[in-house]
Amino acid sequence: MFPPAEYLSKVKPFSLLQKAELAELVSRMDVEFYKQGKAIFRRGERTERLYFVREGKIGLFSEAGLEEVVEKDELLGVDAAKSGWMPEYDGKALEDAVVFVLESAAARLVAERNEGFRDYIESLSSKRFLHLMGTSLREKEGSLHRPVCQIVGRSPVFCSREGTLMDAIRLMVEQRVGSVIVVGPGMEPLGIVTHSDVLRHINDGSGALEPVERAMSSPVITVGARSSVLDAYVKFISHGVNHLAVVDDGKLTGVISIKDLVSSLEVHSYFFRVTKGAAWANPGEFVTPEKGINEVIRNASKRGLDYPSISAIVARLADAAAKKAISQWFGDPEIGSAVMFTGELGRGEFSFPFEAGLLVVGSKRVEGLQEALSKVGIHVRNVDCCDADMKVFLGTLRSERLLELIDTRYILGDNHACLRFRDALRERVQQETQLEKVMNIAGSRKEAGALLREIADGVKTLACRHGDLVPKPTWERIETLGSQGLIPLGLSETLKETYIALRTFELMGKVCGEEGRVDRNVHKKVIKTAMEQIKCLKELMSWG
Amino acid sequence: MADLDFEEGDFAAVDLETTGLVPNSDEIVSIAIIPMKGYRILLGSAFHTLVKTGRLDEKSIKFHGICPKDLEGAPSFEEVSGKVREMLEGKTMIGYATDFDRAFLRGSYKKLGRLASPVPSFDRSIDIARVEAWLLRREGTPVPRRFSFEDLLERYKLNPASRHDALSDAYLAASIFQRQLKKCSELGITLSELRNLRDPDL
Repeated sequence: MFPPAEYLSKVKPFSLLQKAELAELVSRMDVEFYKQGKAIFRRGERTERLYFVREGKIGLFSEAGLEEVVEKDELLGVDAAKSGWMPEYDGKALEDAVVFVLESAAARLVAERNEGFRDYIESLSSKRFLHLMGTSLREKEGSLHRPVCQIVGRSPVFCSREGTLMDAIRLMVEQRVGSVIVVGPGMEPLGIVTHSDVLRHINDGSGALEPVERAMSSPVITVGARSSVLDAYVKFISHGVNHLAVVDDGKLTGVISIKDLVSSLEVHSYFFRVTKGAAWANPGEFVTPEKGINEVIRNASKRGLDYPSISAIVARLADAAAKKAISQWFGDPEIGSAVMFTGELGRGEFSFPFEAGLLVVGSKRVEGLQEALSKVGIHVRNVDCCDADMKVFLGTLRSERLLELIDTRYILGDNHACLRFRDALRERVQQETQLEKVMNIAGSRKEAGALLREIADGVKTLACRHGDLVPKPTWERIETLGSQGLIPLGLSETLKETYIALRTFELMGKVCGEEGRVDRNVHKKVIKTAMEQIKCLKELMSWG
Repeated sequence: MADLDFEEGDFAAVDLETTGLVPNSDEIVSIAIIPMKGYRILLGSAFHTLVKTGRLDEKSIKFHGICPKDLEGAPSFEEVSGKVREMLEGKTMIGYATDFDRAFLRGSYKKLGRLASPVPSFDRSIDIARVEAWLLRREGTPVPRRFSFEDLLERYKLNPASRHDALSDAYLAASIFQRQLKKCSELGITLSELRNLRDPDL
């Protein structure tokens, strides 16, 4: 392949193009070398070009100075692919830069033909970030298109045709399986004996010492180890069987059951395994990297579950883990006392590794709580202790602490104590006039974590101002404010999308590592959009 | 002044694949020409073609990977000579071992006889290996031997695995030249001086 085409074929959105489409695009492009300081395009001057940075950096300048740096593998002027582009900034090479200059007409032409490319450009342009991010991992690990060998969990259980039915029964019991494959001398599968076959055979009056051959179903349905999970699924359905022998070069290498297949497709089964499985015997195993929550989140992300859905499930798991750890450590809480999460986990969001604040109501027994929760992988940042006189406790708190305590969620103990606390908090917040002054939302920081905090705090403050003190995830707060007309509809939709996208970046980066990285064009656009929207939010708050 | 020269320079990155190393007896089997305007590589105006020849032998096939079957339906040099002349006329030819390419091109036009008269001289050319040697000598670094194309790719961090055919090589030569031009502009050398560079006595 021609070198520039070869390079582009590995970078989104060009990687979505067919070879011929990419060749066409490249055949109409120029490769420009801009020396440091050289002007590339000017603000307000319409252009019909897209700029892909192959090497070096481009700076985007407003009258005030440098606003943004565009780096290697980033694409500038995506909108040009739709309808021409009017740069808002002057573009200059910050250092020597090699830039692929593409004709927007050529990009439009291939976009008309290639749905994936068109969809990417339109989604980026219209800020449908979640749509773009949701597909990125699924492309790499489409559940149905994975090879069967990836879902075979254990070595096959088999016996030779000379064995007896008793041998097969013994193997089923010892290996805890529902079927045994009968193989020939070269490990070729000849048949299968299942629980039902055994029962039927015994019911017919046959003895357990008869050759296994008489009880087996033959031929056994096989699937190639390198066939797709979809192929296996079709075989299960078309043959109406519960087990398939997995073969490689005609030899038995494994067995998959319909249960294995469902587990590999159904993300909730991972959560099911964690909540019901052996890991619960010891709460400490909750965070075992290989088997615990890390894997759960990873698999859920890979299967396309979005951040709010994962968050809803994981927050419940964290509650359950915390409840178990605290009760194992302290026994039952005293009457009239309760423990609650505060901060992010308090509103049903999470970062990984877990970090939370704790609030103990109606008790002064707090020693050891942090240690207990660290055993289930929850790092407790701070513990607040509020004894029976809640008003006195709340009266001592400053605005920023009050704002934090709005997000509190019950873990265990006396639920009435929690309700009393929330009533007292509502009363206290209504008296507080300084709440908004503690807000420090500037929208000027480009780091995802800082932007998340600014959006979450801004939205929470706005909700409080309108009397909504219900702890809930930020995206739900945005929705509520949008539906009440307190945030303009356009802003609320994009703000929600941006917030979830930022959350997803954070999660993918921590849990999925390199393979979870979102492409730079999407990342940059989300950060930029978040900064713009925080400014809008700030303006909205200043209007009163 | 030099930089203005370079910005406005009309260049053409050229690469040939041939049946052997002797211009009078061997023939061209592939030609790639990519025009450049100053620092800009104009891929949209690139030209690349295989050229029909009856002289392909096993030795040269091993070298460039072009087989007789690939040349079925390819134009003869006579058929593309007009296009090649048009693309190179008034341009400074850029490439690796441009003396070799110029000799082959001149030889091919000569073989066309009267049809091609007068034979183009292709007298303006810049060899990227010579430019690199000159740049190093200007820094005071000794240059022990003539740079190979792979040496140059490595020096400019370009991927040698991208070498597939004459078009890829012409593109890589143009990419190297882009970067050399920048260095040359800072050192104040003019285009005509670059064209007159010779291999040092090694």
